[in-house]
Amino acid sequence: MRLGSRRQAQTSSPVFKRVRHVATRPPPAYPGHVPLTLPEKAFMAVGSGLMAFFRPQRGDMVAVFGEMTAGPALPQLLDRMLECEEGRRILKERPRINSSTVDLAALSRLPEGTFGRTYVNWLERCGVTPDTREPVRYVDDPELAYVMQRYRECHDFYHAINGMPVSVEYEIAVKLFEFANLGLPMTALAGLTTIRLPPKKRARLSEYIPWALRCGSSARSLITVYWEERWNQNVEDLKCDLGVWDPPPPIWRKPLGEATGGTATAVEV
Amino acid sequence: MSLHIASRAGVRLSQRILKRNLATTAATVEECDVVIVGGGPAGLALASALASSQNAWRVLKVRLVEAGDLSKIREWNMPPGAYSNRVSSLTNASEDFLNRVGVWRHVAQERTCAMEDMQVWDGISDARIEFSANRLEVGSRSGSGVSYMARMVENLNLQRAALTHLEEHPSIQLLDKAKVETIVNEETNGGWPLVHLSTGQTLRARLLVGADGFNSPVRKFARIQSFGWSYPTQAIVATLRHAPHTIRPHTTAYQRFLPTGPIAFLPLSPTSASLVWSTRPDLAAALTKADPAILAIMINSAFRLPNISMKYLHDRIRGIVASGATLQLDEIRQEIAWREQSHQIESHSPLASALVDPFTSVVGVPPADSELYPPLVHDLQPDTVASFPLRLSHAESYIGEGKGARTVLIGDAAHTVHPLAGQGLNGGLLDAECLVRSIDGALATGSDIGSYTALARYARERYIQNHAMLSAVDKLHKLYSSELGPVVWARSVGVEIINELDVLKAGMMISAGANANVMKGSPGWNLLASSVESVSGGVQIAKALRQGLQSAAAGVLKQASNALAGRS
Amino acid sequence: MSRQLCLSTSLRRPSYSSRHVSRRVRALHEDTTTSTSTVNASEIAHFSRLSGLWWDERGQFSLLHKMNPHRVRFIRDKVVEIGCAEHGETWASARAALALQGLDVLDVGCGGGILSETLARLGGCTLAIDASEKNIAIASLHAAADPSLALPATETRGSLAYRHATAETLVQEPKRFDVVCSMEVIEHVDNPAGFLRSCAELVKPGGHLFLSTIARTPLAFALTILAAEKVLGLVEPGTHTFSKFINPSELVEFFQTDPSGSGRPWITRTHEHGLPTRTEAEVRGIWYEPWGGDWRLMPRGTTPFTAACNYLFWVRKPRE
Repeated sequence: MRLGSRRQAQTSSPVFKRVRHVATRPPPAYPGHVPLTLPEKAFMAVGSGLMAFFRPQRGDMVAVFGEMTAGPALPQLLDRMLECEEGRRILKERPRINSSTVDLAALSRLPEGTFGRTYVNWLERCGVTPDTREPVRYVDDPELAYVMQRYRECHDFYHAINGMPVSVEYEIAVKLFEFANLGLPMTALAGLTTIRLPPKKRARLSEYIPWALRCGSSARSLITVYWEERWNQNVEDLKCDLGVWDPPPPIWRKPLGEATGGTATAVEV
Repeated sequence: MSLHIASRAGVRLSQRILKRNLATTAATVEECDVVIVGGGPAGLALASALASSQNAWRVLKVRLVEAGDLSKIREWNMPPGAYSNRVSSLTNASEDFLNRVGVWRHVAQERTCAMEDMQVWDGISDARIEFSANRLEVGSRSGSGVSYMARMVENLNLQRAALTHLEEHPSIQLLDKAKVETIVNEETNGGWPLVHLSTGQTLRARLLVGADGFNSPVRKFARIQSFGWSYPTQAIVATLRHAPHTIRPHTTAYQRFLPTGPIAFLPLSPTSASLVWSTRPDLAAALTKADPAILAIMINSAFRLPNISMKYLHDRIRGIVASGATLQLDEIRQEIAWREQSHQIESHSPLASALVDPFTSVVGVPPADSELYPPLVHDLQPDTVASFPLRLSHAESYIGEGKGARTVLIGDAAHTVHPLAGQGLNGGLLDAECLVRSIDGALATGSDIGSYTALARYARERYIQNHAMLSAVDKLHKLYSSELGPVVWARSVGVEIINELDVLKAGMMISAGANANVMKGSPGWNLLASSVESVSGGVQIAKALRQGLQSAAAGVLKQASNALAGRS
Repeated sequence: MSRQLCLSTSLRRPSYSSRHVSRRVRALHEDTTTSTSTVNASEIAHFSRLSGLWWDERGQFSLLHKMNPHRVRFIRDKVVEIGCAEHGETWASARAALALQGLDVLDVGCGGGILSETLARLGGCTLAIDASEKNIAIASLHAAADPSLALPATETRGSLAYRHATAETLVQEPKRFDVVCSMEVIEHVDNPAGFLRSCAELVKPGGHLFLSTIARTPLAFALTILAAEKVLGLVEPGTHTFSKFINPSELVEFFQTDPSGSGRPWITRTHEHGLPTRTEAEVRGIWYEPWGGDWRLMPRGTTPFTAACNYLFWVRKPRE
């Protein structure tokens, strides 16, 4: 190094010569952070990728794979957030989404048609909770780690506003929607798992792909949405604000519960 | 003086500069940031856009210089039903721009006319292409939910709206009845352009905008060459009055490509339309000098009679004029009637015009295919017939350099175009829009808005687009001037095929500015989505191609058999 | 190699240095230069020859003219981004038109004043200095033609003053600045570490330092020296010396020490690819695209891959 003291060999990129030796592993930058060396990262990326491909239900592996492959997409999301007032507020306040920060009971008392109620209905119908999200561990920059965390925690909202179930073909459709909207490479690779779908599901998915790509690419960058401030907003108004339109009506495995009302686009089977 | 210089050379220099500044202020030189020369649609649109821009109006001192009397345009008023003969088809992209700028709300809407459909056909082969904004789902939507691809607007209506808009923005001063006497370079002090006006004022311009038309003095000052050529063609314009439509709303434009040039019928109201007829100069002279009733019946036949008869009529008119006689209405009417007879056009056919009363023709059941032709013209609005030569020209550059630095050209000063696609005025408006965008961008980075670097983006973007437009229009003109069999055949087959392909037609309309915001999502993603969809839809395109080729082949066979029949 | 040693040692603050080697080399280094000035005499001569051409936008400096709006946008955006986080949204929206309004701005190595004029137009109370007297004369002459620059600063307008001076002489004076810019300069000075220390010294606590230079990579050699100077002749041959180019990682590392003696490093830690935290420092690649005839400031996320030739660097001096 010219301006510095040591000369270092081996590079990760020609201008940022920096190889972290295990011995010089830096201290964690935020609680839960696991700093990794470059070879470790490569190994983790390949390993988690393979696992995620063959066992898509392993959410933890999908999460690790997402972190490992984010690359320039995360800073780009950060830029999108810094560009608008709502996004800057999220970065400043760093809100988290789980059952301790979000009062689900209060949301379920909101009038039908509001975003909050739609979300709770969706959670009930799919039988999921907001607590199933893995914490981010391997992104070094704390701010980028938060962006990754935010993306992960907001994923369910995309399902909810579009009225999409969680079964695998809809999951892929939402992932492709996210790819067109946010550009995280992992979401595109999720599209690869299409080849492992049975033909019937694949056919159903192909109806959703054009919607996912068009709607995702033309909508406002969804990472910049302060969802928690919009619980009371009418979900159709919200979609209009964001430039999101309805996908073809999905087929739900589980019929709509008695009082939940369900999402506007759902079709019973 | 905050410009203080510590070095000795610098001090000497600054003293010299100071002296010079004092000298120039003595001669009442007004410092301006933008001086726009020309109060035509492009110049006024530029001034309006600067007035409405985020920052420009606040920080820039803008002056617009016009030799004419702008109050005449401001007070322009025509009775309902009467229309000026200078009409443009405003694309939706242009309308959107005017809307954003705030000019559009001052346009008298009742005097404009949305164009929903377009009928374009070949004067020789009759190969036809139809555009429908509603069917192709392109274009803007009006309040009633109907799509339209363009809107007919009188130029004066636009100019008046811009002037009304500018009245709300006194920061932009209009200097009318002020002729540009000379434009010179400052000899010292940076070499900025000095504009001397007939009123005795002198403006020192950071940026001098030439919106001063085809013979642009600004372009001459900037020593920018302009290349181009005149067409052996004169355009006749007039305001037509016709019987109301019966089967269709009055929202269809018609254009027929005759070998002498295209004739276009552009709707203005249920009973009026604007004519742009490009034809040979001698014919144009004869027709504009003749009784307007003769021009009216000639217009009707020019949309209907086969080319061979149009040629015959042209020759007759030339003969009469050459013999020194004047054209007689009855004589021409008889000639047309005879040609209709020899083509076996029956009196109730939509192709009949000579002996049909335009008002009775619209009563009762309309003849089949009557929607393919414009309604019959019964007379012309008085004093609206005019003609002007057609030419194509394009400046070599839009930005002046060296001695002509700090100048930029927009509108007709930069490019003049054959009016067959109605793109002349739109080009000027888009120039203004793009220039304001460049100026705004330059202000945001603290750049000097008169510098080459600040203007380069404007020049690059608009030059390429205008050049593509000019050469496309020119090629179209040349293609349709030809009467050569193979050329006519090829262009007709092309048109027949295109007419079957809605996607291609939609694309053509979008590239002609039918869509206000070109694409909502990014084009790449849309393409990807479309390609996923068209895996199954690919079959359709193949089908359309086959149909197009079949109908073209049938046409050729018919022509061939006609030719054989004629010979035997 | 000896040159490299000179540089590496000159970057260490001599008074704190405890290594024998570096002291020895520093001694060598000081033998070769007669003054403490970091300005290289032959470099000044070179630019004086060129200064008449500074304002020909299509000439010798056309690439610089084209680059200017992009680097100004970087300066503006970064100042507003940090200001917005610190003073809130209203502060930022008040600066939509004049981003540098009310800020004291210094342009070190202003050349013909390409950057200085734009900083003043953005509202900055701008002082521009250069080591070449002729450059100052040219820049003053050009600015005098522009009525908007010849007026004193007001609430809605910045001001511009030129001085024949170096960063080292300004350090002797009490005045400090909110924004210090030194664009395309550091690759022309003999003692970059000393130069950087002077620039850093001139920044007010909480202020901004902007630099731009070229990375010392084979790619940069191929593009800026081989292609631009030798083959295409876009830039006067001899403008750049490869060994003087500086890598972004070297700048980052430099500011991880305590460059201004305030007792605190300017960059506290780095993350992926050795990049600093967004609020402490930033590196952005900037590329010339010949097909578009314009430069392009690369997005933040691509820095590890795109800061391999020309790049912009921003760092913030910590508040006390």
